[in-house]
Formats: sequence, structure tokens, C-alpha cells
Amino acid sequence: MSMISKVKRVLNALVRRSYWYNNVAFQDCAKFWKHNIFELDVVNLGSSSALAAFDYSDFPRLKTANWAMAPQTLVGDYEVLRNYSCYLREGATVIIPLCPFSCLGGSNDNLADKYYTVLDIASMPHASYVKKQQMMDIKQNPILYYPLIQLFSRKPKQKDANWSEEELEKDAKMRMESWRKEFSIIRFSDPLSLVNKDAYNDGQVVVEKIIDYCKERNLCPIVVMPPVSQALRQQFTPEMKSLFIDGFVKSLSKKDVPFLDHFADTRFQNDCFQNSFVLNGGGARLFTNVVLNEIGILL
Amino acid sequence: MEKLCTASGKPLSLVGLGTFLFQGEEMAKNMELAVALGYNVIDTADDYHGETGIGIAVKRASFKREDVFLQTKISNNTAYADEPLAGKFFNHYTPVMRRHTVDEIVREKVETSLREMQTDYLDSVLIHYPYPDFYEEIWNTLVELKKEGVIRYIGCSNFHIRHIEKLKVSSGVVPSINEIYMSPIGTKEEDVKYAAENSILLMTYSPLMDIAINKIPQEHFAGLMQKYNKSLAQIILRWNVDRGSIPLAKSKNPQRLADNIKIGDFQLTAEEISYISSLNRNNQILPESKICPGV
Repeated sequence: MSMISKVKRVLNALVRRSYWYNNVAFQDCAKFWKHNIFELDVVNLGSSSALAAFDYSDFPRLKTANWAMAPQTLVGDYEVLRNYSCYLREGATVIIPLCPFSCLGGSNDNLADKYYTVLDIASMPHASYVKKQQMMDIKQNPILYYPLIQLFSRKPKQKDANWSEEELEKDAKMRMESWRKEFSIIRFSDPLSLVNKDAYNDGQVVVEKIIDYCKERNLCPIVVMPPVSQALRQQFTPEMKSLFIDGFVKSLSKKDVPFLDHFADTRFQNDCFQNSFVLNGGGARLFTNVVLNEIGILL
Repeated sequence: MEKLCTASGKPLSLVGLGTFLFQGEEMAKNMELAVALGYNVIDTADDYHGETGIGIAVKRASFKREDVFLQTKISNNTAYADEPLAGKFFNHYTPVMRRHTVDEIVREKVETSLREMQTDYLDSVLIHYPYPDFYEEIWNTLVELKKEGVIRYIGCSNFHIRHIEKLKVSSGVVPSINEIYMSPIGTKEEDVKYAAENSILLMTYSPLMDIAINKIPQEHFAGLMQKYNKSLAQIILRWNVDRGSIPLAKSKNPQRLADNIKIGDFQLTAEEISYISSLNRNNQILPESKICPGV
């Protein structure tokens, strides 16, 4: 091996440990690249909130995996499940977590480029072979793509200490404002726009497809809504909760799948959250315990 | 169970030849040696890129074509790993599937296999994976091709019971063969039982892979190896045969190729078969759903 190749190899190895590689370019991908555990008992799908909400480290006897990615739509959930279901044992539990606005964003099928490294190209709704080659090259030769500015930027710090009531309220308002803009909503009390109605209906279809997929393979699907902080809960009027969460899930009743609604679970106080939306480590362990108990796995 | 045979009526050899990734002259020589040693089942697939090599051997005619059983598979691509052809077929998102029917694609694939293997009929064609939304249509064309006399037997590969049940319901035709992975640590009891009940011949791929990667608990086989004076590989191949399947073993090594087929002089007892099967831990060798999402 030439000296240049050796240097390139070392530099690639260094970049593969970088924050940019693991948390920007290929956030949450490495667990899929390394996945080789068959006969899993429990897995969860989901987006950012589910990624933080499930921590199975207190249950070493169970074979588990957190297949959530940040961010991930319901379409992403479905494709991850279709690509990795061979790792599940017969009768395994598949937790399908929802977010407060899964109903509007869940059917988005524009999967991020990082999915090219995780899914078979046949699973990418708008696949481009050129893009796939680019992503695989970035994965294998990251030194050629590493943005040098990253050397001078600090990785964002996770806030360790508990948030004050005011901080959580501010964060909750900020999130609601982001969602409002993301879905082009003028006021949350307005009727859904045509585009959002379509997304809502499509989202229900995707959840139904995930459930059907599980049932066809003797897997046990469970729909779960993780808790949010009181500050965020207060931003939801009963009408909003009824439309965005309860109404969305209502159509699933015909599928005869349990829905564990922890949106307003008061066991999860402010000290369980890393911000107004997402649980912290302690909150995740508590929540995972609660869910596994509810579905009878720990009985 | 329907007894499968070669076109000349000869019974299939106890062990078939796996050919994954053998190509060209290497494939041809490997096949010729195997046939000389007594193999008559040759298993390939359109995406192994070995059909041309098989054709070379068929044309050289060191054996009679009708004495060998040539089996290939219909795959969702014929691409080498780095080519943009990957996943072109049986995929809703690709232009080729919008322009052509499944029937057209399957017929073209079978034509290509016939041309490359230099033969005017195929003994067996399998659907490589149960490509979701497509495998029933692929099956319908294979049923037609069988009626037309182009293919003698049709079957499937990596199919689960639920997939075969769907074929049964939609076409009324049961596959003659299902090619799956089976090992003492992944015994596939349900598939074996289902195959027996439905007269499906199981062929097993990578039957010796778990030895190669040291996953077989060898200490459990010492007694049997001593009793029959056979190697671990031979005991495992015989276990496959005694459960009613044809293992498809692959080797570049002429001695191993010869050893693998020398299993006709002993038979495991029912207790010995059960003992080996008791090592089961539902091992799976391929991540099927990563290869064929939604399998």
C-alpha cells in the first residue's frame, strides 16, 4: 500500500469518528450499518422524539433495537421496517411511535439522502442512482468531503441541567411556531387546508400499511404516543388534540391495534425532559419501562 | 411427492452444485468436473453471472445435456454491485417497469438464460425472492412458460409459507421447488413440514456455510463422524438429504467437490436427525429483507 493510501485510510478513519460524520451527514445510520442481531423481541420505529424516548438498557434479557432516526417520517418508518424485518423473531413487538404532528408530516416520502446508506435503493421513493453513488462515496471516503469549517465549529452542547418552567414554555412556543410554519398553518384553530387534508389521509394510510405489514408477518404492532412536557401540552387545545392526535389514530381502531397514549402522562415531569418535546435519559428509561409493562413484555 | 428428474429420466443427484459467483471458464470447468463426479443438479441465477460459463460447458458437451438438471433464477437485477442497474426490475419506481409488463421482462430473462446456457429448455426456473407486488405476476408467466415447454419445473427461492400459499390461491399451481437456507442451527422445521405436505422439493443453499464461519458446534458431531467415518460437511449434507432436501454445495476445491457427493453410502437414523436438528437456534444466514425489502 502506498504512503498516500495509508494516509488516506488514517484520515478517513479519523473523519468517521467526527461529529460531522456521525451526527450531520449520517445521523443515526451507524446502528443500521452494523446491524447483525437476529431474533429481536422488541423494536421501535419513529422520529426524533421516539429516538430519545426508548432506551432498552435496563432490559438486557430482551433483544431490542431502537430503529428511530432523527428526523423520520412514517414513510421512513415503513421502509426501515420493510428492510430490517428479517431481524425480528416471529411474534416480535413493533412499536410505532407517533409525534403530535405525524398526521401532517408522516406521509412525506422525500427521505433524506442518508437513507441511501441504510435502505435498498428499491425502497427509496424518489431514488437517484447518482445520488446513491455520491452518498456511498461520502460514507466510504469521507475525507474527500469533510467540510473544513467543522474543524473550527463546536458541536452543540446538550443541556444537562433541568430546564426551568420559563425555558420550557419558551421552547414549547418556539416548537409550535416551527410546526405552524412547517405545515403552512395560519392558525391551529383553522380547518385543515387541502394539502394538509391529503397529508392527513395519506399518513393514516401509511400507518395502516405498517400495521398490515406487521400482521402479515405475525409481528405485534403497537401504536404509541410518547409524553411531552406540560409546557408543550398546554399549547394544545382540546380541539387540537382531538384533531391532530385522537382523530388521526381513530381510523386505526378498525385495525384492532392497541394505542398507548402517553401524550398527557403526568408521571413525566419536567425533570424527565431534555427540552419541551423530547425525553432525557432518565425519562426514556422510565418511559420504556412503562411501555414494556403495558404491553405485557415485562409481566 | 412428485419425483423430479433430468430430461432423460435420471434421478437428481443427492447433492447439487452451488455456483454463486463462478463465471466464465472457471464456471465451465467446475461444472464439468462436478458432472464427472456424479453431480447432475447445477444451480445458478441470472444475477450470479455464471450462466455464460455453464453454456460453455454445455457446448463442449463432455456430458449429455439431457442428463443434467440446469436450474436458474429470475432476479430483480442482473447488475454487478456498482452498476446503476441494481433494483431495476420488479420495482414500482423504475421507468423500465412503467414501460414493460412483468410478462415481457420475465420472458426476456428466460430467453437470455436459454441463450447464455446454450440450451433450448431449462430444467427449472425459480423466482429468486418473493418480490413484493410482483411475484404473483412473475409466477403466472412461469406457469405459461412451463405449459409452452420452455421450462420443465418451476419453483421459488427464499419464499416463506405465506408467499407459497398466495401462489397456490392465485394460480392453483404449487411450486415444485423452494430453495432456502437450512442448517443444523437453522432447521426451518415449518418449511420442511410444509414442503412435505405440499410435495415441494426443498433445495438448500449455503448448506456448509456455517462450518466455514465456525458457527456449527462441532463437538456435537464427533460421535457421528466417527461412527460413519465421514467429515462434518458430509454429515451435514446427509442430514439435509435425510430430511428430504437437496443441498446445493459449492467448492472450488476438487477434493471437497468429490467428498461432498460421497454421501450415498450411509444414512442417518431418525434419532440422529432429531439430535442434529435439536441444535436449532433459528439461525438465519442472509438478511433477506435487506436484499428484498418487504420480503
